[in-house]
Amino acid sequence: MAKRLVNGTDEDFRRIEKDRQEINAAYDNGYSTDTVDSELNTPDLLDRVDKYGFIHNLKLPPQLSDVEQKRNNIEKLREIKWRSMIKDWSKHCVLSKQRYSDKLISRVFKGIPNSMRNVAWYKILDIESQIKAQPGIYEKMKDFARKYSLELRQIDLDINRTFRNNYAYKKRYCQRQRQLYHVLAAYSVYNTEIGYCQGMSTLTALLLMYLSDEEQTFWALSQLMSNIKYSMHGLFKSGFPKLIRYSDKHEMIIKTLLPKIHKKF
Amino acid sequence: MSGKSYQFKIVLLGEGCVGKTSLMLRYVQDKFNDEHLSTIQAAFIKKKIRIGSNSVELAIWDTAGQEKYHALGPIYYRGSNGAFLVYDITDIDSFERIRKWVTELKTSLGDDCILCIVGNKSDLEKNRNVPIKEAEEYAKSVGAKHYSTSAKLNQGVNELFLDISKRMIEKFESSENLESINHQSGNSSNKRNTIQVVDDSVVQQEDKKSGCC
Repeated sequence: MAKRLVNGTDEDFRRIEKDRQEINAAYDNGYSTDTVDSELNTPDLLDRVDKYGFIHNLKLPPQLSDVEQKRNNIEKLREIKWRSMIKDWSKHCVLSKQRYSDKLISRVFKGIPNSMRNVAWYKILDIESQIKAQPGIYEKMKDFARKYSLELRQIDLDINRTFRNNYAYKKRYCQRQRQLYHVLAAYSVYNTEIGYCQGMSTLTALLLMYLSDEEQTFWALSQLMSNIKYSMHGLFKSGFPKLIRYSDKHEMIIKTLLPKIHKKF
Repeated sequence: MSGKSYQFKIVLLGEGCVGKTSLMLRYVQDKFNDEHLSTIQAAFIKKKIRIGSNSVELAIWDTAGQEKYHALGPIYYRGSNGAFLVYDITDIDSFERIRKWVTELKTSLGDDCILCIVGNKSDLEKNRNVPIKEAEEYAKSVGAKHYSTSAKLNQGVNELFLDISKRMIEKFESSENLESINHQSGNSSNKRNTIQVVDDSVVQQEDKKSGCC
């Protein structure tokens, strides 16, 4: 699309404009009950949805297996620990100094309980102070994207293919898909060095699943990209410098430690 | 000449949303999903087939289509025996993109790689935007073959993979012949059907040993 703009004729501009209006309108209108989706009308659909919202091909067993039951019990215990840790957050985490308590670190590695993910992510990514420091920016970017973003077509194409096996994203143009559209579009004009790059839709969709709020998701994404601790910017930026560096490193490691396997490639 | 086995690498290239993943999944798993997931970076599947008395193992590399990922192309197509350059027959831009890939593959892989230009979504014939004649002529002009497929209706997909496999075998055999001619005239070492594995890590390790003592 960018290419079309550089050498663009008037007709190309009209086409981009038309795309933009159509896509915006589709998300504004939301999910239409006229949509024919045979899978949504199957009576056992809800029996096939797991606790994360993913839809399976077969009905899930009515009772949990022993292993799952055991895992659930452990998770419940961890949940209690996390609750008290969140209450005493300043003891466990000093973000300005990038300092985390050993307890917090070890608990993160054991796995954040599903029910605590939203709070934990919100705290660890320091979303609150991001919003406070930049009030209104998200709304401004969202509005700007609606009018000027050049990535809307690609974003729309990808939302159509992002977590469609999850109940939250199943219905075309539903509430979750609309939120995802807003966040990705806003980010595409906020960070112009990246714009929108395939792969971001899955990442953002997952953040949105737990955080639920558009603005929080936007800043969570922004933190993952530009906070020095995560620096995912280089994984998505044009030319993928960080990705290529990682892949070179990976090759070097294989070459040094597993030379026989390396020969096969 | 019976019972040979071959290993080939095929790479799928083309603009986003033209149906690269769908073609691959249709061929390997005979599935079609209207709402599949978009490919990030690349995906990889193996499939074994028999052609006559020969067995062929295909390593199929599927890539992400967004223009930004073009930069990663060389990582995926290096060493490919065949390439599918896929476009959507309803989208003229996706066809233009093919030309870029063709030039690039020709420069980096030369004539070693069998090129197939694939017009996918032939079930949407009524919305066709890429004239079939133009596509076929273009394919001919660059020494590639043109195919029409529909991953959705399962049209032309098996034929496509079978045909490229046959052509890769031919190519492989003719380059082998060339090598054996070289061999007869004394130019090359006695490798024909065997690959010599030169293990230089042993040498390295020995070097290390002598170095540290």
